[in-house]
Amino acid sequence: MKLGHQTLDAAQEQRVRRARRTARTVGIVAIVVFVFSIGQMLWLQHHPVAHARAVAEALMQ
Amino acid sequence: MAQAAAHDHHDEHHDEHHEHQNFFQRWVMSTNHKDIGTLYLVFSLLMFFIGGSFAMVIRAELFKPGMQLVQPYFFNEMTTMHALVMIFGAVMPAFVGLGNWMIPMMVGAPDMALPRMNNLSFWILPFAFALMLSTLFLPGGGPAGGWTMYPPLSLQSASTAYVVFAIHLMGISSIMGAINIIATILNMRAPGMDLLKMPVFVWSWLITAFLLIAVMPVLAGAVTMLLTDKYFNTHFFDAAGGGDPILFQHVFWFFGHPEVYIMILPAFGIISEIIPTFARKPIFGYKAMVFAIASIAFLSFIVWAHHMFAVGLPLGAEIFFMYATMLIAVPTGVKVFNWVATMWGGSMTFETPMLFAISFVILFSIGGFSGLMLALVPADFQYHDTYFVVAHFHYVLVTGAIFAIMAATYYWIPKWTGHMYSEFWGKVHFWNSVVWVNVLFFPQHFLGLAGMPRRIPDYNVAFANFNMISSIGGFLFGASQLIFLGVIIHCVWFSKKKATDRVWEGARGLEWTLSSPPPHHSFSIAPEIHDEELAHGHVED
Repeated sequence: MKLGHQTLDAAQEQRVRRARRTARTVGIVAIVVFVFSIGQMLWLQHHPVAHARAVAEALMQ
Repeated sequence: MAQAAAHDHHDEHHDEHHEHQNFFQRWVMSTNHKDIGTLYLVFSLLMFFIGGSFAMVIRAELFKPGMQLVQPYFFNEMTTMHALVMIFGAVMPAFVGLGNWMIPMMVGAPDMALPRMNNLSFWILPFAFALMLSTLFLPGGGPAGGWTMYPPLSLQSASTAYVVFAIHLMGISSIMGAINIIATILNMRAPGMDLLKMPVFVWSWLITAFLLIAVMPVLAGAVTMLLTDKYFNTHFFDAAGGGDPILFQHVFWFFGHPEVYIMILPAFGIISEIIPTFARKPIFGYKAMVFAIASIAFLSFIVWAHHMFAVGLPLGAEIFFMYATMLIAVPTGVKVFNWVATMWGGSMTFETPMLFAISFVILFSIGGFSGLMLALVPADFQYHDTYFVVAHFHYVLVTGAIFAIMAATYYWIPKWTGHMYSEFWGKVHFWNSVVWVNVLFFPQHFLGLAGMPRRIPDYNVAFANFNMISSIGGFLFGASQLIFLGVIIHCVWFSKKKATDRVWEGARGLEWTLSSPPPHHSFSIAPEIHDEELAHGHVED
């Protein structure tokens, strides 16, 4: 197995394989955060009463 | 040392490969962490000078009251672009470059875990910035609503789509870089390099990478919604359509405050490497330093609304965010006291990296204290959107982040190039920088307290003197950075003085066991690590 242009020994190969699994997991987390950040705003758009109440409560204080 | 020599020998045949590469293959197609690190650092330096030139325009216009040199819209473009270029183009890529160069060598890894993605992470950036900077030459002009891009002001710009796409590209680059760093640190450490034996710089980058994963997608989401509001008829932030512009501020600052720590935590790591080296003592309270970084990162998620005290938050929320913000002073204080305790009783010498590190500790603390003042809700109502805020974040980011990057450059450039830089010119650069940066930013505290608003091209004559002093400091600080450029060019191409492998007498850690410059490929076979080679090998329980 090569890492870039570098030939690795067996132990290093094992680490690289594990690292790629970690990278996939972290990448999925990043995509979920992106979708969630837009999703919660969409939810607020479709629940205008809840949003209006929150704004009114904020302005009353 | 014997171990490192064996590695050098093993890696010789790998180095033959890179000698056969032409310029295009080596630099454009590179998958080597050291080359990509160099690319990041060169790009960052270029952006530092471009962003700096925008700052010169700003200070030239503010030299005297009245409109002098530029039109108001162009002035606003300069303030906006200066921030975007410095944050996303200079500071962040510099830290990624330093991380790329040093993290694999510090943990005994052969390279970053995903070398091709590493190449892509870098090469996205020049296109992103070309796109963003090109807006300055478009008929409608560039973004001028501030780097925070608050709607509805930011939506009035003709270049929204360009800037949003550029920010998406920068975000993708940062996220890929963060994934690579997390995967490398968690999986590719050499046997014996336990998590709590890693250099503090590696720890600081691991925590920063998690921050990036948590908040860069939020920024991407926020700017995507800006784009759909402008071009696809949504009303996320449009009050007329049932949306709420304040929501943008919440989403933006949920990204924006951790972003501040993304720009300072790696700096903490750098300072925690340099001070022990030149004090010739192990860092005081290693575990406390690591946990302090983690605490700061955690707190960064629950303080975002301190940027929004003036929008009319509920009183309960204002009190919560005020106290949460003040709480950050505790782990930050731990770090400052531990740096001082590391120096206490040490056999200190004052080479250029150490001078920058000490000035970091002092001047960053000033920025920290003015941050505490801004955390107080009643006081913030006076300081909000004044030059006091400008002074505060420039103390944190210039004498904090940028001084740390300069310290790191002086500290590691002999390792990278195999040559010593000119200590005399390094010190000339340091003393010029430290004097003029204070002349530049300290008077801005007084301007802010007296009520001068930020982001304006003209001002009341009452503010004239301090503005003139600040501008003189700005021009001379800017000119001082040409010395920095000269020292780097001299070190890379002209210096005759060879660096030893360890470079600094007090340096400890795996990276110093490699030759200077290190072989193109290092640690193809994982090194056997002995605690005495590590900076933090004997961590007390």
